[in-house]
Amino acid sequence: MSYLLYPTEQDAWDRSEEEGIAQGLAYHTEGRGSRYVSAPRETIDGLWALDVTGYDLDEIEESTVTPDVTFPQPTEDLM
Amino acid sequence: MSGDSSIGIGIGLALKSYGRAFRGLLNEYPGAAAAYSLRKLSSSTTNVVRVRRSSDNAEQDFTASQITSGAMLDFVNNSSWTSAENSTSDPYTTFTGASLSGFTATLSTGVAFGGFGGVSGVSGQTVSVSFDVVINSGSPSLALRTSNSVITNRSNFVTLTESGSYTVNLTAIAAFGFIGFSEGDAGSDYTISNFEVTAVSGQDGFVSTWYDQSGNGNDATQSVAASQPKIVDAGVLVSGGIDFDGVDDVLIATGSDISGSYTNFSVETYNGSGSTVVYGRQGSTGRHNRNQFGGNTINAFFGGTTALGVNGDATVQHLSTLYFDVNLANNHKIAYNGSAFSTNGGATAGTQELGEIGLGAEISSVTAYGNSKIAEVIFYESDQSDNRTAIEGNINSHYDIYA
Repeated sequence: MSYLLYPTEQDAWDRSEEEGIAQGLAYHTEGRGSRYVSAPRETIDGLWALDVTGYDLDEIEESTVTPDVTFPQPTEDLM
Repeated sequence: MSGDSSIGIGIGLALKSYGRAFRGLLNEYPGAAAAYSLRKLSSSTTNVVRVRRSSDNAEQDFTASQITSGAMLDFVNNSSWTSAENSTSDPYTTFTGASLSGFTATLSTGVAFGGFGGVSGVSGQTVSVSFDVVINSGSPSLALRTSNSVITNRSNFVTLTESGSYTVNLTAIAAFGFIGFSEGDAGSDYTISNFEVTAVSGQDGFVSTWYDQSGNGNDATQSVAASQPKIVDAGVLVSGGIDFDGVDDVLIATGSDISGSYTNFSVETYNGSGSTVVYGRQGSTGRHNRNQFGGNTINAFFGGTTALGVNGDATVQHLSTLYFDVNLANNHKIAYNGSAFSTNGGATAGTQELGEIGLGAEISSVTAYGNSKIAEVIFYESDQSDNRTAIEGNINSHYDIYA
């Protein structure tokens, strides 16, 4: 996977929505349904990582995209 | 006999023509707080699911009968093209009369292409198109292209040497976003009409909304495309229900609030690896989930120190029945495929309420995404012990889960 890192969650959501507009997701064409392409996740560093696999990236984004992101360990199963 | 006997005869004929009115599980056993299924559960049910197709992200609502008839699958396996465009990098000399059904192109010299945008896919997918062409001069070719500005990664191509009607299958060798007619020869002059994309192979369909059939409006939705569970995989209807990937898929019934004791019936299949959540508490601290622990136990956990459980193979489609008592943990009970209720572990399983419903994940004090197929989930915010056998019978008669 390829990630872009953002200082705030809202910044990441904004980029996801921008891509959703570019990809013609239904929320942006019909006013309901899919709105965002991917959801940001918080890293152990307190940044927000957005999986941008399949995104149409500009040159600056291409130069900063990274596969190396560390997320907090999920809690193992369920009791 | 008084009155107009023809009216009675008419009503009788009408009843004979249309048979008994539909009565679903929720008509027979009303009062559900939320109910999700791909089958019709109530006479008042219209759409059961809203689906996004991967080829162009178009979405559409579907009824249960449209799923069984194949109409939903047809929707996913088709695609709309959204424009006729001249190339921006290698344009025709003239490109006129452009519409969704065709265009006229001429080329004086050099290289050019133009065609139709809005359909995209990946290597290996086949796009089927049909169209008419009138060729005044030249022999244009047709292929999939990267985009209207990138002519590389051409698929197999067909060269058109005569006017006529054509049906063509184009198989991508890389990601594509354009269906392009190329120049053929300098001096080309041709007109495309009646253009249609008739099929795109290997498409996926994702659920953006699983409609609540209870009448309470607790629709389960997901606005993030990457987090939507799958209903069509590579052009084939997923068997066993809606497929949650265990990575980030979840449908959230925003605003729902199962705050009291409840009875749940779920038809589910664990995919065999990863987390086992079927549904769970969303967006609040505390813990509450129903899961399929280890693939061999049907579990539920409500913030205590143990889990309520009953043995059963979770890797085959099964029916789980749960009664959760928000006031008294000793009353929790769970069953597998119509078995006798088990109370194992229930006394110390806790009493944390469910609250907002998340299908396929628990996102509360912990985050866990379940790797499961879910066919049906019904909540009654009441004790349905008296109706349990009958409701389970209704479900089993539809899904044919156990003898």
